[in-house]
Amino acid sequence: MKFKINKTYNHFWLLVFIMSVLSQQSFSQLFYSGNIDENRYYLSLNSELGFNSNKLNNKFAGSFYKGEFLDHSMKTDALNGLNTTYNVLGFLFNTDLYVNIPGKKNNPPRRINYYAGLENHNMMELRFNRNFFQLFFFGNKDFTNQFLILKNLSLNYLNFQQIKVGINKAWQKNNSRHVLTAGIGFNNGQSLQQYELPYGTIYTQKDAEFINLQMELGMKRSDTLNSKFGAENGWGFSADLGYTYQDESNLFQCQLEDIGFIRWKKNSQHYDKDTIVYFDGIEINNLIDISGETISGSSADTILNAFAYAKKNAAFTETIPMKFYLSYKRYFFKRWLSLSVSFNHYFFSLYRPQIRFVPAVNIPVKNSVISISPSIEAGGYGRYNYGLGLSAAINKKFYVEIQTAYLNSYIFPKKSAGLGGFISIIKTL
Amino acid sequence: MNPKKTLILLFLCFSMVACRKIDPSWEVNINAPLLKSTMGLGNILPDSLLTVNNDNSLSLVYKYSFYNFSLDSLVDMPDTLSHKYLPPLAGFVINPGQTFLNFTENTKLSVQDAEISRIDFHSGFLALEIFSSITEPTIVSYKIPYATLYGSPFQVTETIPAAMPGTVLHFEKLYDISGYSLDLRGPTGLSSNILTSTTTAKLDPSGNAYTLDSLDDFRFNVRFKEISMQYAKGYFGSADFSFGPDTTSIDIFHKITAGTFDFENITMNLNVENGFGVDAQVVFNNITTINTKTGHSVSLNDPIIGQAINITRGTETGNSEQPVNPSKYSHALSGSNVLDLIENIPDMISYKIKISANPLGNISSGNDFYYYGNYLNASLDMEIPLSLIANDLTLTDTVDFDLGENPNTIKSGTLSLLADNGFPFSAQVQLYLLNENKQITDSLLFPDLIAAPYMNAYYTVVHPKRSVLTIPLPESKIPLLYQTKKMLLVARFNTSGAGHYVKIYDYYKLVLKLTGDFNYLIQL
Repeated sequence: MKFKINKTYNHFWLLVFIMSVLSQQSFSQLFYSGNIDENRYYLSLNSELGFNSNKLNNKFAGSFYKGEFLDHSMKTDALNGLNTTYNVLGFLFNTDLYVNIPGKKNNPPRRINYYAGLENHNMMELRFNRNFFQLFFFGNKDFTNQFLILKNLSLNYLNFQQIKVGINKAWQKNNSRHVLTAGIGFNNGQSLQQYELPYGTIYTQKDAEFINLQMELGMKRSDTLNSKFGAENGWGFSADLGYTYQDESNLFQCQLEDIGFIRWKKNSQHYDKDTIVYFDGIEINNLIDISGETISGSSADTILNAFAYAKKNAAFTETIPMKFYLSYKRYFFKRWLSLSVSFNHYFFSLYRPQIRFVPAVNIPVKNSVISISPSIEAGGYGRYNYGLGLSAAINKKFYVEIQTAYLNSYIFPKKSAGLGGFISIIKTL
Repeated sequence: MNPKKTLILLFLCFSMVACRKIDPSWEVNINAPLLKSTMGLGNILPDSLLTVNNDNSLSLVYKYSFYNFSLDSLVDMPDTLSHKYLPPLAGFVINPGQTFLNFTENTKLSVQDAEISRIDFHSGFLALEIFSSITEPTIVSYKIPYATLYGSPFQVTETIPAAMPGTVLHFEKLYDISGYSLDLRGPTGLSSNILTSTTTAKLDPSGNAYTLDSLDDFRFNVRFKEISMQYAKGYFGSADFSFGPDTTSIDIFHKITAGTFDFENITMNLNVENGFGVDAQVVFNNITTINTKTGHSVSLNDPIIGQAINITRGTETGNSEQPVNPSKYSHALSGSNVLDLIENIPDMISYKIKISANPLGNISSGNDFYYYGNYLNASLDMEIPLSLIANDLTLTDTVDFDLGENPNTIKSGTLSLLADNGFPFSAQVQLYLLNENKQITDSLLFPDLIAAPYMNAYYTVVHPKRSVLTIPLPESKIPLLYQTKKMLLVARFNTSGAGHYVKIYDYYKLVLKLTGDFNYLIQL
């Protein structure tokens, strides 16, 4: 079993290496792709994987991910790099598959295209303070005889799938081209887990005679009976909007994706509790006669029961993370060079506004264009990252792009964070 | 490789990586309370035996009952009441509705020389059992005219199904006779031990005629089952009964495995109480306490041993709630060796008793009586004021222990026992690790004593004293802990009165808290 996992690491690092030398984060092709012939049917497959943190470095996160033993110095280095109150760790894994359906071409520069597709979204977000990290990775001993304050902790898992359909309306005006995109989607809620601890304290008495916990706790989660891929634990709707302006030297895009919600079904659970737990050991009535009682792992259940609050089973509605994307690209030297700047943000999540700058060298080869595009970005789940991508648009019939935004994290794992990449394949039919 | 295939492969790898399970590990230092216990003397001695005196001191009050002598001991009620069978009548034709068995019998119960005139049943059953080879349904009735409940006689009627040709059908049914009063004086009303009953059997009127042959079998049994009596009257007979030598356990000191104690004073009485309506004579031939752990026995040395105790019957009160006023005999064992008897720390007691019922014969003219729950009872009653000196008094107990099946999670640590001792004892605690075969593999010795608290001039504890005892758990001992399935707890107590007797008060407590400071390996 161990051997298989190690083998998976090898695949992972091979992939990381390949992605590290290649280029540009993009959106799904439901909005607009200037790299493929829009007059034809085409299929697009996109997948992005991203892990990032504003404070945890890659050395620590990578060791955690690989299942290594986290030694004291590694934990201490990670601890020293944390903010006192606000640290974020996020994970995104989004995949979509779309088909473009060309519509009738009206008066030549006007045309309408349709699209339909499937999307799968996996997201994990953890927000924690320094004390939480220290408690989790070092234990409570360092906090003996003092109040350990936990504040604004949250852990969110969200998995959902979407079926989307929409329309692209394009028209030409003077030398510029305009594309308006509108679409709707049906959302299938696979699973949701939200745990929140707005405020809490833990006090361990100096001789460990008792531990006192005061906690404000909140929890929302979908039906846990089945949370596998495609499980129908909630449903909802969403809408997408987009606008693109393009002329010979400029490309401007504005997109709003996943304006929607999921209504999690009635077997979902939630609770909010403000409670105090005083634990001074498992009570044994008679230490000299405890026949029938076993000091074992089951004692842990006794402690956990102190935290077992009455959960309410009821349906509830949650908005899904809504993505806002704004970008401007300028071409120079007959399109040999381009510079683009973009703004990217997920509302209703811990993702912070992200600004990204991408210069690209576009090399024409016969009827194709090969682009090499380094990138630098700041925000999102992390602080700043730079990356590299490579794309090839072949005769407007086939397009492939592969890139990572986290090159610095592979080179300087102790100083930066971020792991992942993006793959896009588009092929006309 | 084809570029398209390469890209698809890369995409699959990408998806696989995203779904990978993570299992990192790291060490944390946990400092936490584990167990707590507040112990009074009731945790060492049976709580139900402790009484609180006016000065809040405690006494141990214990009653040891030797034997309950009742009607069951004296009269052995016969099980079978009636046993009848149809004589072979080959060729005899029984028509539908025709009675072919009808008899009334006055059964003389075999109850030794007892002459019982009445029995009221507290509980029990009458079992009716029939064997029949008749291939037509039969109807059987059984009646005890002098057994009544609320004025109605006991009577049952059953339809016995037809037997399959060539087979014998077995029918059995139980009837509850709780509450029935059975008059055993017979039809004349002047006799005793007579149970009158009537049995009839006829062919089902809706069936067919049946011709008996020589192989036909029709038998009928009636018997008592699991009866107990609410009341009985008559002469219960005269007989001698010997009980013992018999050895039974005494569970006051069963947790004490070693050491000695010295009580300041003990009060012990030998009591005989007769709630049974017969005169009796009781002789205690021997009473011995046994400590099986040391093999030491001490026999009671008192003039009462071997001496006949005559005790008259109880008297009927006419009150149904408490129908008997028992007669009582009590002998104080004040001049005897009772201190030796108890300080032997016995876990068994051996005795031999002889009881003679109605030693003078039927002097009550058939008016012996028995009421449910009223016996002739002999007991040893003791009261031990807990003013004592204890020397290495050792208590042991075996505790199930299981750290689970995930070894190497605890790397090393320290156990701390925080003891707030309110007893006038010092104590030493040791834990032995036992494997599955209950063999000792190692020990965890708390190196220090749980110290005795300060006592005032009256040898009374003023404030509890705190002791902190620690046991290091080096990494080398951890695997043994995981292999341990049971722990043997040994606690050794010594009183701190410097040779003086110290009283144990109701409010004395020992508060124990076990905490752990562990280096723990977390594995996700």
